[in-house]
Amino acid sequence: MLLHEYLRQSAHRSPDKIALVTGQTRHTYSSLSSSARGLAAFLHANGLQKGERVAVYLDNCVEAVISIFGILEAGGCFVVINNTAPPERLGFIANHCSARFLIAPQHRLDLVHKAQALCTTVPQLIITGNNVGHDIGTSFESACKAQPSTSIPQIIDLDLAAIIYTSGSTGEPKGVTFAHRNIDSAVDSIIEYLENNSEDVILGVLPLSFGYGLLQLLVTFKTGARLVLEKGFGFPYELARRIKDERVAGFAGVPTMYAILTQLESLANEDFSSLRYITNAAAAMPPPFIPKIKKIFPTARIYLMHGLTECLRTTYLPPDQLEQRPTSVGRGMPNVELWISDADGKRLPYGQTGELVVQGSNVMLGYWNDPVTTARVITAGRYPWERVLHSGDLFRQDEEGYFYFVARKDEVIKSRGERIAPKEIEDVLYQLDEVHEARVIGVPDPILGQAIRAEIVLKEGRSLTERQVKAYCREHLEDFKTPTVVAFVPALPKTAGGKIKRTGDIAPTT
Amino acid sequence: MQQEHIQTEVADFIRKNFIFSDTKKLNNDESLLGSGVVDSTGILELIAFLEGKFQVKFADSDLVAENFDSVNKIVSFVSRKTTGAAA
Repeated sequence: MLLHEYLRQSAHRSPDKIALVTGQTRHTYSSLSSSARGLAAFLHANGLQKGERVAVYLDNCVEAVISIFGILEAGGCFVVINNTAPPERLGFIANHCSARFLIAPQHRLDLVHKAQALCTTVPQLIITGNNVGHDIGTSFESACKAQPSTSIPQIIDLDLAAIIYTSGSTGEPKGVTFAHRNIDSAVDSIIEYLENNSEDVILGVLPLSFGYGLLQLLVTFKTGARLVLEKGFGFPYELARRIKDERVAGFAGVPTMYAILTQLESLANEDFSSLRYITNAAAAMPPPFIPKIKKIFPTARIYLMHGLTECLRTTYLPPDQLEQRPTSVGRGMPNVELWISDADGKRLPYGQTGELVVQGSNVMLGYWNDPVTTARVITAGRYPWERVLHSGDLFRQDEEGYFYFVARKDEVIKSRGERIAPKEIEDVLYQLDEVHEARVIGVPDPILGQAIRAEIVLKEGRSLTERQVKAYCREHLEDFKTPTVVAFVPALPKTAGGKIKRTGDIAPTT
Repeated sequence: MQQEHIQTEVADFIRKNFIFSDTKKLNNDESLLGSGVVDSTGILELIAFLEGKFQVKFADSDLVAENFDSVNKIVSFVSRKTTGAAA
């Protein structure tokens, strides 16, 4: 099914049903659908061609939801960019995917203008917020009121639907590119194993710029259920209250969230009986969390899962296996074939560690504008029409076919469930004139999964403070990439060839 | 006077730990999370700081946006808490 049909068909079936709750506002399927069709008409009338990209630089809000479906409805490809991205990154992405339009909030115009300056072809602005002046761009509100268009070209499920930007090991963002059918396939598999239905209320806390967050919206709209969309996890007690008041049935989180939730002792006495399931992905759930989560949410089934942006989702552990295999992420979800391969592409038997390889309709088309990196991760299968994805995640399998995550093949740090390339942060550190050498490593952290530790060797006679370094990183990186700890060290561990090692122990500070 | 003191302490803490800059403006009415000044784990650090600094204990149910999502909201909530404790 085409992704924008999710909204259309749900609006057709239950026009007056509340589809989305944002803050105190409730939105029906029909109102969202008519706004999305208006936006589509506006984009089409203003020259958006099939497959062209529209960047969405918004947090989790109703305008972001309308944008996603409106862009698809017009035959375009949506690119949601994390709303904490600094102007350099926003500009890089908008330019990299040659975004034709950029949808952004009025209160961040300064930053948007800086980003636009980095684009070879400047994207046309559509601005959310009240009283948007004609001089700064088109108001989102008025764009959504455009007369629905009848001349939008035929869209098929092989057409481009979305690009999700993620950190590569080189530090440059990579644009993971999907056709409608790739995402739709993942959505169908998820609905099947989570047994989602139209009565569900799903709590969406993860950002829509993140595959796992986006899936919450898509699964909800395909089943005609309701999404309670939150801007983030800042106030855990508030979310707990949301679960109670909105009778939430499903909640998707990352271990950092569960670490925080399980610290709130008073939650154990609250009534969360509406909760049917919770899911975990993006980083491994520490087994000690599980009994604590069960205590707070006794009615919820716990699904441990694994996914990667390049195919959205791979495995889930059926909840009845949790007791027996709390460290497993389960088996392949429906319609996905998984196996473990050695460096030469040979399938490995049970018990051996190798790279997880994925085949399925959910596998991305490739990295946007990057055939070299794409060819490294997507290779031919047994037959010429088969394509297999090399996940970069090392796994082993037990005799009954359950998968266990072992490590990343590269040096990517997982903090708060986000994938972070050490090199990207190191590149920023090296921009500081005082820095002689730097490395960034992940260190275990009970809340973050991994905390980011930056180690710096200063040039002779120069000085810097931890605060200065963090301030500089904060200005040039998304907030979740700012190092948690900055240590000044006399030397860094090196390989025999003189390269700085990114693995191993933290460098001594004295 | 008390309120001014709380405001200075809170703004200092945010500047030192989240903004890292003395020149960047901190708008006291702006949503800390919404504007991206403080992220979700940062809010918890901020709350731990407030408990230590002003000798107050927050209940889990206090940890909501209406009490903590801007400098001004924090100032008024903390001063209510501290005067409440004194009474």
